[in-house]
Amino acid sequence: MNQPPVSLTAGARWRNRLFHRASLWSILYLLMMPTIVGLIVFTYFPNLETIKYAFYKWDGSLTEEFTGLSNFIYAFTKDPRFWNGFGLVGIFLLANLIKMWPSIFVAIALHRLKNTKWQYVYRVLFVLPMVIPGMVMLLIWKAFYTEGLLNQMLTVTGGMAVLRTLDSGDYGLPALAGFFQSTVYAWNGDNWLLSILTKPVLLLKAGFGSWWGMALWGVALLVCAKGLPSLKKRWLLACMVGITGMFVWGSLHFIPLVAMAVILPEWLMSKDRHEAQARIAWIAWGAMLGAALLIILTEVWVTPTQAFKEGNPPWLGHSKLVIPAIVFWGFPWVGTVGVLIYLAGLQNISQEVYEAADLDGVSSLGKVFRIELPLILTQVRINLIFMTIGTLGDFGMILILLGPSGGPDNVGMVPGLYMYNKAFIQGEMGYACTLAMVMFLITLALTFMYQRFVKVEK
Amino acid sequence: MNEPVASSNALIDDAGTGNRRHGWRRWLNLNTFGLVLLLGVTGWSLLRIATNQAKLNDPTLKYVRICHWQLESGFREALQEVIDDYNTLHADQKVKVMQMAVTEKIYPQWLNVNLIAGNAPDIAQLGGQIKQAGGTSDAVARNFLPLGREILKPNPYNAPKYLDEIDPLLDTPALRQRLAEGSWRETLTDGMRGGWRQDLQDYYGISTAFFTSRLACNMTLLKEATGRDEPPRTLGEMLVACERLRAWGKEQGKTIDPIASASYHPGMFFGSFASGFLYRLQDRLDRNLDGQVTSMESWAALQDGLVKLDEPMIAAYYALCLKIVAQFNPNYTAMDRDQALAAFVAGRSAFLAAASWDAGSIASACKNRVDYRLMTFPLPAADEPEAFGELGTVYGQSIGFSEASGSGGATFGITKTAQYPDIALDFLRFLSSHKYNQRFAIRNGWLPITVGSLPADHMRIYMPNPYGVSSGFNADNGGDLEIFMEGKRRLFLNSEISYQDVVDTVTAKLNDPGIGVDNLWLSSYTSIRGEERSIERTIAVQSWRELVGKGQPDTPDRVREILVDQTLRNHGNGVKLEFSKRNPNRSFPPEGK
Repeated sequence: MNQPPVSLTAGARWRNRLFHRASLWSILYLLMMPTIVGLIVFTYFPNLETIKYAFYKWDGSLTEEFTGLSNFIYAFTKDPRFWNGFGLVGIFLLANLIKMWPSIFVAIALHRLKNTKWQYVYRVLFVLPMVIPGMVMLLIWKAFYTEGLLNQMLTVTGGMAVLRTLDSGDYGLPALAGFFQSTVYAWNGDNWLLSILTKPVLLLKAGFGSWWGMALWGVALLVCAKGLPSLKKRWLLACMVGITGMFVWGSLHFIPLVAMAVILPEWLMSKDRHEAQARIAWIAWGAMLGAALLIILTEVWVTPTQAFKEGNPPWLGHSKLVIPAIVFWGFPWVGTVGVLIYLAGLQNISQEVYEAADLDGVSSLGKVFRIELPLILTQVRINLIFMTIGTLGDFGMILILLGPSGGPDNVGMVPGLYMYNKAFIQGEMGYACTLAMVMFLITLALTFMYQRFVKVEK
Repeated sequence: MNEPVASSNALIDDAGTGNRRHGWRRWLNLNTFGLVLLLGVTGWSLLRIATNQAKLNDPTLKYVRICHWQLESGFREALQEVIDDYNTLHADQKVKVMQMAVTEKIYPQWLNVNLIAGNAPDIAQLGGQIKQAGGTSDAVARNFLPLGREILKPNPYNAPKYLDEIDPLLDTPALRQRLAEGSWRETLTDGMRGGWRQDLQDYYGISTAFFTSRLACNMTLLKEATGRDEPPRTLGEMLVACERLRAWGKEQGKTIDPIASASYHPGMFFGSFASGFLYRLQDRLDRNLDGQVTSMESWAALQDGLVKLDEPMIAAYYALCLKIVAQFNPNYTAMDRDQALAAFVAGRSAFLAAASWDAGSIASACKNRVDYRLMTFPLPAADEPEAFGELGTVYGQSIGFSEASGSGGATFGITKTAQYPDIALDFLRFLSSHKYNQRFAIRNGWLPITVGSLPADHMRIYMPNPYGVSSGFNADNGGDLEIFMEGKRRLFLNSEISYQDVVDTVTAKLNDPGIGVDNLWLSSYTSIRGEERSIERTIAVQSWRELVGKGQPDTPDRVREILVDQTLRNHGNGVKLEFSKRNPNRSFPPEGK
């Protein structure tokens, strides 16, 4: 005869359930415990200590003195060397933004290969460099720069002659920069053709205050136009752009320019809502790219370096060649991990999408910008975040290549390296913790902006 | 019949049946196995650590640990031989000395952590770049025992019974008497200057080797390129040879950098003739007349205008540096010494600055490949343009090559956390005694530090010349200002800017509120105050130990000595006084600090 089921109270049922779950999960938590303990002791605790010692004068020993906010006040008001390093980080960020793209295009090329066997072969070839440790790769590149291997390659391929020409003060980039240096609107009767070409550009520069101002105006336009909802929803963005504008343009210029960046999208939206976003994108990107080109032409290679005359430029020994050498490091910038991540994203794209694109007559290049890139933007965004965090904090490569001083005239002194110097060379551990906190807050702000504003439309 | 109860909890169900396990059987699953494995391995590791620690804490054995960062070939073996001799000699006292070699890159952090934790080795190598082990005086005062009292006593390991390995050429009664009866300090070539801390006015370390540098000359390449059978005798001859090497390289289609150099080699070149140019500044800069010009004195003199960077002597010195650097690989600032050695051995360079601690590496790299000779750094002859006219007569006639400012290296100090400081001190006496230091030097290919000692035959070229003068200008240890000047100096040596640009930019920064000399005054003062805190802590600890009966027998003496140290520091008033003398119209700390 079947026994009748035992009826339990709600409390008893809850206790039974909890006991069963506890006995199950207890083992799992115990297995995780060593990792959690290690994480707390070796990751979280040192970081909490860093926060604490940012408010102390501490040299790494038992002697410490609470100084309140004086470290922060010093960092923000009396230590220009720390902030100068962020200019260099900005250059590296821009360079790394460009260096992300070869991996994407390689992944797309791999994805497009019809023959699965060849796709496998190429995938293996791209993954093989992973076996070389990063430090070894760094030292190999250091040998390229210091042992003359790169110089020999440039000489053999004719690149050295090109660089020598570009470095010429008579007809190279320094000469071109000289034409754009003047801000005086004056007709050059001797060279009227050049005057016709350069004067409008100079007028543009006068209007924006600087090429950097023009670039930032383009960013402001994109930011203020984002999604084209009402301005009320974008006031925070507008304020951030305004504050940045203050630093770049100076007090007289930034007000009308930021106002224009806010008002122009509203005006275009009132005219034709659907076309407004496309037009704004064209104007904004045109301003940014034009400014970038003019910055490269007029502010990067301003004076001849004289380093290419003998055909053996000191890439890591000349103050003007160090930054290009670091930017060029790793050419052709095809990162194995990036390729694999993007390839995984591309392989999720259904074939029907491609078939539909073929039916619509989309070209191969069109498929890249209309199908593949939009559908792997999630991966791109993640890599963008990691790249930004890494660029802001990383200094290991510069330490290995240039030493703790950051190379000739300290040109490679990024904030991370400066923090390292303060901590381990000068023994100012407390101040180094302060710098670490400041860098952490900047990184956090940037990450927040990425999460909030770099959205992927599904 | 009871139907099997289907359960979603597969961990405690028999597979496939849905029957729940009961009792101890419910623990028979993979998770439990994993947990047992993890706990077992963790427990085993903890047991191993506890066992090893127990061995070190064995009350019947006295362990003394000595740590260093010298991973060069030969050093560890040589030190181990000395350690084995010492352990054998003191086997009846159950003393065991053991060495710990730590990579130079992490040595400062490793030592710092252990010092703070209180379990640092008993003997630790001191170094100028290591903040916690010699770089700053407050770190030394805080972590290491002063040895001033001990060095005045004779070294018992220089007693006559140990003096059986003196070279017959050097064996004299006077030497034997000096070794056996003289103070420990007098038995070292440098008078223990390597362990002396000027600002602490005491000895904190014992040097175990003497370091010099010489110029290695690739005779194979030199003969092929220039036809010379002999190394250059003067600096002018060397520079001419360098130009010929470059021209020959171009003809052959080879890249020749006449002098192989890495980032740390220039100092060896510059140091060889710095004394001759700069010693005459000493009478202006040495304000406290102690025979040394500190970096604070140099920077303060620049700020006060007592000396200017564009003075003829300093300008001439840097002009000569420029001529030397012009013969380096242009990327030398980014190169390692291995790369420089490789260039020398591969025949891409004819000259290489060779430090005595690298002599073994160079010899083994060049063996059967390169015919090389060692020589002292060539100096400009009086009639050579590099001698800069009147200044050149210094080299031509009176001073010559001088290593008078040299001092011992591989210095070891006794940490305050040492469990057996007396044994540690005894081992240092042993290591720096005539017999064992000579053996140590011969075995590891270095120069001995004790008087009357000879190195291995191939190292005799490195024996120092102790006569002459020392440099009268020292711009090291200037914090951010020194980093700034070093950056400009690099630009000058790269021929990117002129020397006048260096003078103008550095002079403009001397009174900069952010990095100027006022900051150095303040850091000098706060450093002394930091030392005082450490000393007060030491006094408190020692006094407490004495009070509760846990002190060492010599604790009262030690406390008295430390109190004297404390008094000498005088709360940094010496710095304040010196600042006031130089700046009578300004108060201390300087405005804005």
